[in-house]
Amino acid sequence: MNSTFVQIPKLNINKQVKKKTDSITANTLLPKLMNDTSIQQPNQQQQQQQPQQPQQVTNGITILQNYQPQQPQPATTTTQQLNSANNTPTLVSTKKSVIGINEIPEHLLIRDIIYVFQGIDGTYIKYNKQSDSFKIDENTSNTLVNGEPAYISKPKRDLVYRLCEFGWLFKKVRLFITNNDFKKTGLTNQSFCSAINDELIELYRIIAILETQVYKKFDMVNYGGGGGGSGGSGSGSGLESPSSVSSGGTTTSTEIPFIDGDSLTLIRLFVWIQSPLKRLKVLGTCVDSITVDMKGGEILSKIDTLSKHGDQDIRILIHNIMFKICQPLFSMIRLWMFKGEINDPYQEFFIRQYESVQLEKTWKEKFAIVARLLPSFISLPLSKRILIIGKSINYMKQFCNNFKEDKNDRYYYYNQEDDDDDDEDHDDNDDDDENENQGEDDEIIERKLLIKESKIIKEKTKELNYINKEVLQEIIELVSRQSSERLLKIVLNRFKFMNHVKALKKYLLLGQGDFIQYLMDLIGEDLLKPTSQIQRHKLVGWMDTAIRNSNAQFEEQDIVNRLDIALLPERPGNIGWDIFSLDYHVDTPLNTILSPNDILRYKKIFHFMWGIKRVEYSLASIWRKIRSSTSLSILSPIGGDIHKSHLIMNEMVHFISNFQYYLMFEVLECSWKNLEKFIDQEATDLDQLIEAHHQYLQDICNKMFLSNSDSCYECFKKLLSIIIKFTLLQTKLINLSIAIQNEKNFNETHQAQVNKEFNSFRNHLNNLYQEYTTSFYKFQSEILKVKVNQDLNPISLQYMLDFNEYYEEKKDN
Amino acid sequence: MPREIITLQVGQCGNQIGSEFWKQLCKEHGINAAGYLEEFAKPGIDRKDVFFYQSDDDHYVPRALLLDLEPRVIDSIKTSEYSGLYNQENIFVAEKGTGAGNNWANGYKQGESFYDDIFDMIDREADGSESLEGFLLTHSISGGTGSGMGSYILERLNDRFPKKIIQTYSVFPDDSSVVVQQYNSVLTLKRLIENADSTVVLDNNALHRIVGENLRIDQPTMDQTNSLVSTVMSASTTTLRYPGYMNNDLVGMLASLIPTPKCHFLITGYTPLSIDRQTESVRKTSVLDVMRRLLQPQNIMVSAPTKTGKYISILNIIQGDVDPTQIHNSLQRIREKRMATFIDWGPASIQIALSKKSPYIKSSHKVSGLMLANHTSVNHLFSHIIQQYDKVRKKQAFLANYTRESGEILQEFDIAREMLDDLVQEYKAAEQSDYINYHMNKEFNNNNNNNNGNPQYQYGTV
Repeated sequence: MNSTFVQIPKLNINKQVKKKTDSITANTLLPKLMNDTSIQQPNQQQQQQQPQQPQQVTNGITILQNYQPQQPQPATTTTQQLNSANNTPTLVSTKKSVIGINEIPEHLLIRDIIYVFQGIDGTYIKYNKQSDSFKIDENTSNTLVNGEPAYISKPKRDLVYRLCEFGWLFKKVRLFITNNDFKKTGLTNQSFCSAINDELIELYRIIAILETQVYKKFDMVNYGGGGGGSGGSGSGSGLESPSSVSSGGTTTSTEIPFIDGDSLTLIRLFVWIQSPLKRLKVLGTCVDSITVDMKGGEILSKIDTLSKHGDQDIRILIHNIMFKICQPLFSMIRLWMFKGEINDPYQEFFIRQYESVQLEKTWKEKFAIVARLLPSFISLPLSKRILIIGKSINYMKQFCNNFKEDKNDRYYYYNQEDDDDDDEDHDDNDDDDENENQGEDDEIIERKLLIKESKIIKEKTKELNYINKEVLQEIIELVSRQSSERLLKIVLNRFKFMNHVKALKKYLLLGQGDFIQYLMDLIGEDLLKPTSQIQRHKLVGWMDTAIRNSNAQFEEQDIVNRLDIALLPERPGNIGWDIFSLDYHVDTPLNTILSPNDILRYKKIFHFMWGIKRVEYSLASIWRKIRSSTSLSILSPIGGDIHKSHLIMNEMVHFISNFQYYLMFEVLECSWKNLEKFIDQEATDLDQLIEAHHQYLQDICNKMFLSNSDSCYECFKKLLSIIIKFTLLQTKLINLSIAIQNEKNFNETHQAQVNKEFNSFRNHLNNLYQEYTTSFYKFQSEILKVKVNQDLNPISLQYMLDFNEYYEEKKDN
Repeated sequence: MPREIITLQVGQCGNQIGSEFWKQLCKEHGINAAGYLEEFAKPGIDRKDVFFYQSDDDHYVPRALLLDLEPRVIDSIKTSEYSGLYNQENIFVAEKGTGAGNNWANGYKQGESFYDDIFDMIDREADGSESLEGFLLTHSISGGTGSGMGSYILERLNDRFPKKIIQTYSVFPDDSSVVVQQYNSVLTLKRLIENADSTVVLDNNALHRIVGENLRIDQPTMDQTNSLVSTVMSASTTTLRYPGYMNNDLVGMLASLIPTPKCHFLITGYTPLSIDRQTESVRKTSVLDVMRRLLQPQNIMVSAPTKTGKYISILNIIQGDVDPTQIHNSLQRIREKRMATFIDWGPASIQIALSKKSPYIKSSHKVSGLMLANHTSVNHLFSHIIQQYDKVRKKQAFLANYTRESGEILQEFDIAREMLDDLVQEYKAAEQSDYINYHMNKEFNNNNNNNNGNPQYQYGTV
C-alpha cells in the first residue's frame, strides 16, 4: 500500500521535469541540450528498473576508490553496505530509506557551490588554508537533517570536489589581480590585471545565470514548506542573491510551478561549467607564469609564449588578453618613435634613459636597451632600430635648436593633427615653396613624397597593436629610414662632420704638407730641449705663424680656431719631440660623435707620424749639407768612408720614403677611401657613421703597428733612433769640416786631432750601420709575423722596402 | 712663405723654355697673362708663392730673373702676351748685346764683368723670400751664354748661398755641325758636376725624336720642343705647388733620387704627350698604362740605352683621378715582369708621388705621369760628348777663340775632361755590385798615378 503511494508521485514529477527541461534549454542553454538529454536517460532507467541499483552501488565503489586516500572511513562504510545488501534484502530496503532521509538536499549543495565558484565560503563547503583547497566542512555532520546527522553521498561528494576546482582557480586568479604590490610595479602589470579582470567579469555573468536557477530552486523549497535550521540559513543567502536578478527571479518564482524548480542538478551544473572552467584554467596559467616582481616586456614575453597553443579557443583568448596588455607598450613605442620621449614612471619600458650622462656621451650612453624587458615578439635587432629612431629624434631636439621651426623637417608633419585647417596650411606651404623655389622641382617632389609617406606612417601607427604587430616592422622600416636619414643629414651638413674629419686628416694626419713643414721649421729647435723647458704658449704662437703662412690660412676660421698644441704626459729624460702633438678641439654636440677618445687617438697617430717626418727632414737636411763641394774636398782623406756613408744614407732615405709611401697610400688614402665610400653609399644611421669612423681610426692604428703589434712598433722606433744617431754623426763631421776650413794656422797638432776624429767617425759609422742592418732585418721579420695575424696590408710595406730584392740577396750572402 | 724657389733663365735657350714654363704655371694657377688672378680661381688649393710673389696691387709676379747677353729672345718676351707678367727690374740684357758668340769663355768672362748687376738682382729676389729653398736654372750647356755665364753664376751661387739647393734644367746639344758646342759642353759639365745638386738632362736629340715619332711632326719648331720641356718642368714641380703629405720640398724629392753627390744627372719621361693644336683622341689611361709607358725608351727624353744599365732610383709623379689601390697593383706588375732593372748595391724602387691636378686646365687624359729617374746609362751621353770633344780637340779647331779669352783655358779643358771622364767611370761603377768600394779603389789608383807622375800632364804638350 505504502509502496504504491510512493510510486505514483514520482511518476508525476518526472513528467513535469521533462517539460521544464525543454523550456529552459530552448531559452538559454540550447548548445547543451544533448548533454541534458543524456543525463535524463540514466535517471529514468535508474528509477524504472530496480535491478540496476546494485550497479549504482558499484559506481559508488569506483568513485570511492578515486578518493580512497583522502577518505578511508567512507570506503569502509560502502563495503559494509555492500555486504549487508548481499545478506539481507529486507535490510537494503530499510537502509535506503535511512540515506534518503538525512542526506543534505542537492539544491543546498548547489547553492553553496555557486558561492564557491566566486571564491566564497558556503554553508557546507569552505576553503581550507592548510590544504589550499575547498573542502566539505567537517562540521557538516553536526547539522541535523530530519533528526539524523547530515550526510552527503559519495557520488555527490565527488561532483562537489570537481566543481570546487573552478572556485579554487577563481579565488587564486582574483587574489593575484588584486595584489597591489604587483600593480604598483608597472603599467603593463595594471594592464594585465585589467585584462584578466575583464575575463573574470565574463565568468561572473555566467555565475549570475546559474545563481538565477538556484534562486528558483530556493523559492520552490520555501513554497514547499521546508523548514529547520538549514532552511533558515538558506533563506538568508537567498535574500542576498536576488539583488542581481531580483526582477527576473521574482517573476520566475511567481510563475514557475513547484515541480519545475527541481531541474538544476549537480551533474548539469558540472557539465555547464566545463567551458568556463577551460577559460579559467587559461587565466590560471597566465597568473601562474607571472611573478610579482615581473613587469613590462617580461610579462608580455610570458603571456606571448602561451599564445602559441594548438587549441584555437585558447589562442583567441590569449590574443585578447595580449591585445589589452600591450597597450601601454605600444603607447610608449609611439611616443618614443615620434617624439623621442619616454613616459615610463615604473621603469618598465625596454629603453632606459640615464639622466646623468655627460654631454659628449649623449648619443652612446643616454639611452640603452634593457634586454630583460624586451618582449619576445620584438627581436633584438628590431629593438635596436627602435632605439636609434628615438635617439635620433631626442638628439635632434637636444642639439638642433631650430628643429621645430624647420618646415622641411620631416617631423613637422608628425606634429600636425589631421584636421582640415592644417591640411590647408600644408597646401599653402607647398604653394609658397613652389613660388620661392622655381626650378627646384626635385625638392618639391621630395617634400610631397615625404608628406605622403608620413601620412602612411600615421595611418599604420593607429593600427599598431598586438594583433597587427607585424605592422610594427613596417612602421619601423619607414620611420627608421626617415629619422636616420634626417639625423645623418644634420650631422653631415649642419655639424659638417666630414669637414672636421677632413681637417683632422689635413692637420693631425699631416695631409697639409706645407703647414706641417713650416711648423717643423719653426719649432724644431725648441723641441730639442728637455720637456721641463718646453713652453706651450710659445709653441702655440709658432703654430699660428705657420697657419698664417701656409695654405692653412685659407681654411675655414671655425676649423683653424680648433687647432691647438697638446703636450703628452711627460717622462724624465724626454725631450720636446717626445711629448709634442697637435690638438683639435671638438665641442658639443660634435663631441658626442667625435669623442674625446677619438681625438686622443688622432693625437697618438699624429705623434707617431710627426716623429717620422722629423727623421725625414733630418735626413734631407744632412743630405744637402754633406755634399757641398767645400765639405767634400776637406774630407777627401776619408773619401771612402764618406762614400760609404752616402750609401748608408741612401738605405735610410729609401726606408723612410717607402714607409711614408705606405702610410700615405696603404694606410691613410685607402682607409679614407673606405670611409668616404661607406658614408656616401652605405651609411643609414648615426651609429653606422660613428662605427665607420672608429673603423677608419682602427685601420690606421693597426696598419701603423700602433695597436696590434707592439714588437713591430718597437722595432720601428729603434730604426728611427738609429737614423737620428746617424744624422748627429754626420752633423758632427760637417762641423769638423767647417772648423778645419776656419782654422788659419793649421799645423801638425791640428792634423793629429783631425785624424783622431776621422777614425772615430769611421768606427761609429760602421757600428751604426751594423746596428741598423740588424734592426732592419728584425723589423722585416716582425712584419711577416703581422702577416701571420691575418692582416695582409703590411705585406705591401715589406714588398716596397725590398722592391729590388737587395736585402734578400744581402742576407743570402 | 716656406720653400720659395727662384728661377734663373740664362741665355736664349734658357729664356725660351723659361717663358714656356711660366705660361704653363699661369694656366695651372688661374693667373692671367697680366698676372692677376682669374675670377674662377679659388685660394687654398695650390701654393702660388713657391714660384710667384704678390705685388702691392695683388699682381702675381714670377720669382724669375731673365738674363741674356743679347736681346733677341728677351725682346720677344717683352713684346709677347705675357709682357706685363714679369718684374722689369729682374730682366738683364748686356748693353752691347753682342752675345757670347757661342763661346763659353766669352760668356764666362762677361758674366764675371756683370757680376754686380746680376747678383744685386739675385740678392734682392732672395731677400724677398722668407724661406728660400733654392734656385732653378734653365740653360743650354752648348751655347755661349747659357754655358759660360751659366757656369759662372753656378759657381757664385754656391759661394754665396752654400745651403741652398741648386737644380738645373740643362739642354744637351744635338748632333749639329756646330763644332764648338763640344768645347762648351765639356766646360759646362764640370760646373754642373761640382756646383749643382741636381741636373735634369734634356737631350735635344731625344726631344726631336719624341716630337717626330710620337707626335708625327716632321719638322718640329723650337716652340714645340720647348713646350715639351715646360711640360716636364711643370710636372716635376707639381708636388711643390700642390701641398700634400709628401714631397713638399725639393730636397725631399732629390734625397731619394740621388744617393751619391756626383751621380745627380736625372733623366725624365712623360706620358701621354700632347702639344697645342694637335688633336688627339681621348684615351682611357690607367695607372699601370702610365707607369709602364714611362719605362719605355720612346717616352724617355734622353738618348740613353735604358734597357742596358740600371736604375738607381725612380720617382713617378702621377696626376689625375687615381685609385690608391691601383698603384700597388701597378708596382707589383712592374716588379713581376721585371720591366725595370735596378741596382743591387742598395735598396731601390719606384717612388710614387700622387699630385693634384690643376682644376683650371681641361685634359683629355684621365691620368698622366712624369718620371724622374737616375739611370746609369746616362753616362753614354757624357761618353759621347767626350768622344766628340776629343775629335775637335785633336784638330785644334777654333781653339784660338778660347785662348784669346783666357790664358788658362787649356788647363780648364783638361781638368774638365778628366772630371767628366771620372763621372762616366762612377756611373759605370754604379752598375756593379761592389759600388760601395768604388772610392777606395779610386784612391788606390790615384796614388799609383801620382807615383808615376806622367799621366797627369799628357795634354800639357798640346
